[in-house]
Amino acid sequence: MLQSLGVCVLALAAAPLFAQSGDAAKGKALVASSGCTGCHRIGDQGSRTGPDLSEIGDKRTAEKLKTSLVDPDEEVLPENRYVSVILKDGSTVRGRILNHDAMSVQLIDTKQDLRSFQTSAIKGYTILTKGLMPKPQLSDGQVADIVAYLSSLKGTEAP
Amino acid sequence: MKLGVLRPLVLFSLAGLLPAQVTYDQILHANREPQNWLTYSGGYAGQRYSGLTALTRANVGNLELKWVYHPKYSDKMEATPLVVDGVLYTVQNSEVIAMDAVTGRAFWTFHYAVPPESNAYVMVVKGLAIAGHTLYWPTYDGHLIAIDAKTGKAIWNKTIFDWRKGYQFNVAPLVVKDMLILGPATNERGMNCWVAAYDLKTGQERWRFYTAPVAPEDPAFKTWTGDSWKHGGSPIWVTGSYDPETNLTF
Repeated sequence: MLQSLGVCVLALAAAPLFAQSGDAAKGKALVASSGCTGCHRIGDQGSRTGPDLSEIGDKRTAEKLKTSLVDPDEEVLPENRYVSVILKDGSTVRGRILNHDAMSVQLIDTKQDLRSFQTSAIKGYTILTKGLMPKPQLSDGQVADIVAYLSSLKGTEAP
Repeated sequence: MKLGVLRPLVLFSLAGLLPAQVTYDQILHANREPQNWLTYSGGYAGQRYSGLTALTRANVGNLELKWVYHPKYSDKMEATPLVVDGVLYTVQNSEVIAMDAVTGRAFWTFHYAVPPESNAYVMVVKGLAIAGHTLYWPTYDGHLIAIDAKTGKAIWNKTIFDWRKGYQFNVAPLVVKDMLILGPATNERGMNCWVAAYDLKTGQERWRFYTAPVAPEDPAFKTWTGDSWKHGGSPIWVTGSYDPETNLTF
């Protein structure tokens, strides 16, 4: 019991250590130069189609952030799920799911428009869990830098 | 060093720039798009007149219930919703919601915990303003909050006044160019109120006009008897109008 508690404590301690080992400034530059904001929003910059990273440092541990970078498909949180909606008119709409009940589906589509579809107009509905984010080719140092930057994102203060 | 080649599923989100959702020009000519309701009063003239023609005296008797929105709080609802391209935005008590105007289903909900002790009488929330992709909510406890209209996330939250001094916000702001026009009210505290312009991007105050004299040097001072100017109040209870030809707000 004590042994397993020790492992747990070590794991918790490792997360901030991991974040501290990277260079947040380098990580910020990497994020800015690598197209991450093509899907992610940070503050008032970037797309709203992917998860908003403005407060990600308060929501995810450094270890979880690392996993999201090196193995993006490993875990997609429910609020970040993408869906593909096939309508009865033959068209397909993809987007991040916002709300869903028996009568209708609401999402933000790839053009960042809020869309709503009534179930009666839908032919098919698929939750996309794989391939939403590319697996980047990064060195361990670069991963640590980006994790350090993301860990520092704690939300927007009043100007 | 690039993060690698983006897969097709990701690439589609990069196509094209996001157009401004609500421009000043749209608000200026709000009568050109009667399907939308872009300001508290529908347009700068403040007439609250809708150009929609589907509803007539002949068919009004045929209206039937389509959907019901049951807000979280039991306070009365005084807000006039905004409608932009099929999305309805409204606010009540401590909650802003974006919903599909056709089904009434929520896209997102934004919560801000208004301190219950700031609500001396009844929580009055008149509405929101929108410019670009941003909603603006003046809260009962004196905060001005900018909210991303697409995601419902706060962009900034600025304290405009201390509600403990007797002020409250209970108007929807009016967007004019790159500013928000609004001011506080007060109940029976007799606090001197004002109309001010706040920067859309930052919430910084641009100018302020006191609605009652704040010093004997004020030209309006002589129109107030005794010391009534000290506690005249002159609260802002309703969203104003704007004349683009004279650049005056009323």
